[in-house]
Amino acid sequence: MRQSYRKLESGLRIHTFEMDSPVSQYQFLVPFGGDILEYTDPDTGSEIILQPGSAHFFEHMLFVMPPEKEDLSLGWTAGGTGELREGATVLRDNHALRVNAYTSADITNYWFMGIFNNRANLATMMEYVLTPYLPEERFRQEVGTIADEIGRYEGNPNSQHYLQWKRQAYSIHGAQHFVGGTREDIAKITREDVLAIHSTFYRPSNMHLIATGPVDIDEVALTAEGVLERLGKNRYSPPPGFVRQDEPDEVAQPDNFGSPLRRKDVFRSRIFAGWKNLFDPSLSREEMLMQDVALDFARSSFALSGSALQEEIVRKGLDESTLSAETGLFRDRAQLVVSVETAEPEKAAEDILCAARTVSCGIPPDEFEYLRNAMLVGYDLARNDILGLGERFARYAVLTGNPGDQLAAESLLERITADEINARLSGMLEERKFTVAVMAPEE
Amino acid sequence: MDASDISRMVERLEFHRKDLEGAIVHENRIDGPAQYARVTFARKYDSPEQACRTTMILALYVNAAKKGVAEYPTRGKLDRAFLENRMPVPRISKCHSDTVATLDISMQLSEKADIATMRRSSLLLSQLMTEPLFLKDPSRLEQARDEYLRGIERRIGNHGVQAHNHFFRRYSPRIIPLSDAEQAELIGSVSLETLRSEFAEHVGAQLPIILFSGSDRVDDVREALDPLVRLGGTEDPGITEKETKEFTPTSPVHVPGPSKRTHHLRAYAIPPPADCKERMAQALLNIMLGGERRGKLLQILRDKHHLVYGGGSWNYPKDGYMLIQTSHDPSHYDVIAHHSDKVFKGIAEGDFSREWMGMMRMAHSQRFVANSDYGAFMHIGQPMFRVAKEYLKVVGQVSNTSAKELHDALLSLTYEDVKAAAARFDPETKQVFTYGARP
Repeated sequence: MRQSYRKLESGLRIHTFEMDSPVSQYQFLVPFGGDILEYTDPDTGSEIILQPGSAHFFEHMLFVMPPEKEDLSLGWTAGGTGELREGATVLRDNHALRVNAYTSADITNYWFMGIFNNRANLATMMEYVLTPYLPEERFRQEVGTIADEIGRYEGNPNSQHYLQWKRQAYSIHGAQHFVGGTREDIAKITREDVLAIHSTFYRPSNMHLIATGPVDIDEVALTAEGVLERLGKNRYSPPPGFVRQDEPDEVAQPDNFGSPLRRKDVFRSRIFAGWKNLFDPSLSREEMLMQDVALDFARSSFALSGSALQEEIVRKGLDESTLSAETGLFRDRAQLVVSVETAEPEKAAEDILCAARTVSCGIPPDEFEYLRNAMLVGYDLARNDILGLGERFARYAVLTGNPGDQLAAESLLERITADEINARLSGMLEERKFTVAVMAPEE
Repeated sequence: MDASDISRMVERLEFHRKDLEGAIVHENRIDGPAQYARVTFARKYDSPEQACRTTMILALYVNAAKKGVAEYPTRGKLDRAFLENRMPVPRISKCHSDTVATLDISMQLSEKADIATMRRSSLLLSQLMTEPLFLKDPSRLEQARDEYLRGIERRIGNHGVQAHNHFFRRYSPRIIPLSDAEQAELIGSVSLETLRSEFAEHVGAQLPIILFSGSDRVDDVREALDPLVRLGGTEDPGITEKETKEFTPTSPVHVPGPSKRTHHLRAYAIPPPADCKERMAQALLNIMLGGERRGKLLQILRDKHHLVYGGGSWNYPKDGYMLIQTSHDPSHYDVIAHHSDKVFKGIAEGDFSREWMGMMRMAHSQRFVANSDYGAFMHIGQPMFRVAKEYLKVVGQVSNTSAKELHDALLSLTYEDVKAAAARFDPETKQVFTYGARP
């Protein structure tokens, strides 16, 4: 895989990864997501307070395009006549294979995949992302679509369980909310709020363009420069700083044993037991890579089939068939959450804590080699999914500013020592950072 | 790049059958760093119920077997035997389609996991299938049985799948021949002896089928898979396309479920396709209806009326219907029902332009070379993608026609062909089915 990088005059960073594939993926992303609910406008100095769900709402709205004849370079016009266009449909009509966007905690990522007409489609995607077009009536209509998306999320027991865990883990941080917000939240979102988001965060200097597949950096850069020039966004405007949140190290609530989340659509109790870890967002690139790899070692210790610790906790009675662990790594925090179905939530949580004490004492050398090999196999297999690979590039664009660091993390895994990992594990698994969320059948 | 490039790419999906000792091999020899092999033990049964029952027995057997063998006495130790040599754990899966039950073992080869690795994996897998510890230690079987039963219970939280399953149970019982309760009854009561004998009978009955895509010599691949091949029998499984069934709708049905949303299915009668060309015309009409995001369904329900976030349509030509599925707030039922009917009727009446049909045909053509039908988003350059496509033809009973023929048929469709196929749809013969919250 050949990597190339170029920074345009506007500050837009372009990364290409040439791969043998008939399909290309283009991602245009901004390191801004559902986590940020308060910030200071860098131009005016005013405090902006957002409703939960604002970043996600805005993501939906950016697909709205003006009627064909209207000139996008006019900027934020909301008048116009004729039928509004929908950006994803415009791309699909021009033979894009898949078009979508997602908003998560710290990223909003617009992407498409295609075999044909990729340069033209890239230009269109950049246009709709960089030029918000929000007629008030259309803005209000989107509430219906998003309310249905929220309804889907509420109907998913696992999603609601995870949300419960986050509410217990975070007391101030925006991570405690569902990225999409609630129906009440989205009804309060205003056009002014989301336009303020755009002017602050959607600056080319704060964004990345990642192209994967049979791509050429010169062609990608030429297209991007052309769009930026046409939209009058080719001059450098400094990116906003990272928005720090004053979240305490300790969890907001250590457990919900007394009042579990109850649902009609679950048959047995299940726990999400995990740690949050906060760190300084100015962490160096090297340290972020280390965090990522160390977090993956911790996850693998708990839930990778064949790990000595997993065998140990299964021997103690935890259910092998539902035991799993997930990690999340962001600029200012990390999470490790172990999940298992259990009839005895308190005992299961204690078993997980006990296992964490073992991990904190260090992973023995033989075990370390096994985990390393298994994780490397996992990386190899994950490359089968080209969308998943693109998502991991995007993740590193947010974490270190360089999507290629995903590949650097894989290289680091090949050579890292047990001592380097073990030195980090105990700090990750402190009890005060641990909370257990129980979901149980409705009585 | 243009449409003819897609046609050329589709040629890479061609496999050639070669009968080697003890196995039917379908080979797709293409150079590249990755290779993929799937060994399938397939057998036809007298009925879909029997095939489904066997599939469940195969699954329970394999889950119990994964609890360990003498050398590696736990599931963890077994997985470790693969992973510590940087070899992916082979995927053992099972499925049933109409009257055919299959047990599939898939292995991915790479620069780090070569054909010698495949040989070692095959040996261990053969041991797992013939000498699992659970045959002597029933507690392992009981553990696997309990896990299986809990898995059936857990389905209650997946409302969309539940809705589909209830629908198929009533209107396409060969897709879901047994209810959850019947499945739980079977798994809860099957004896060790039945498990052992039915597993051996299934695996040992027919010649295994090997699907292979990669650069190694197919004889070497067959040799590496020998420990697995030896488990099979000598008869050609003789799998053919499934028969077409008649669709017989009833009055609207509602099945209550623990969801606050209405899971809404509407199945519209379509005729059995007369030939490959009509089959592709129906597939294209499904794309135009709701098989793709820019199909009419979401254009109306989402983009115009903002009623739903998602939804789609699926084509079941062998079962005689096209299915629209949405899930939504119960209060939106009437309006969504109205628009769904109207959209289907519009397609049947040929209410689409020549230009738009051409665009949708191109979209469908591209799906031959890249899609996410198999979980991950993959493309024709990947051996796993090519094997998955061939599996549908050889084992999946979907069609005996090659991908190239299907693609050529798609490209040959004229606007008139597609309209004529649509005109044979019957918008008035439909089944309305809801699950979850009552509308």
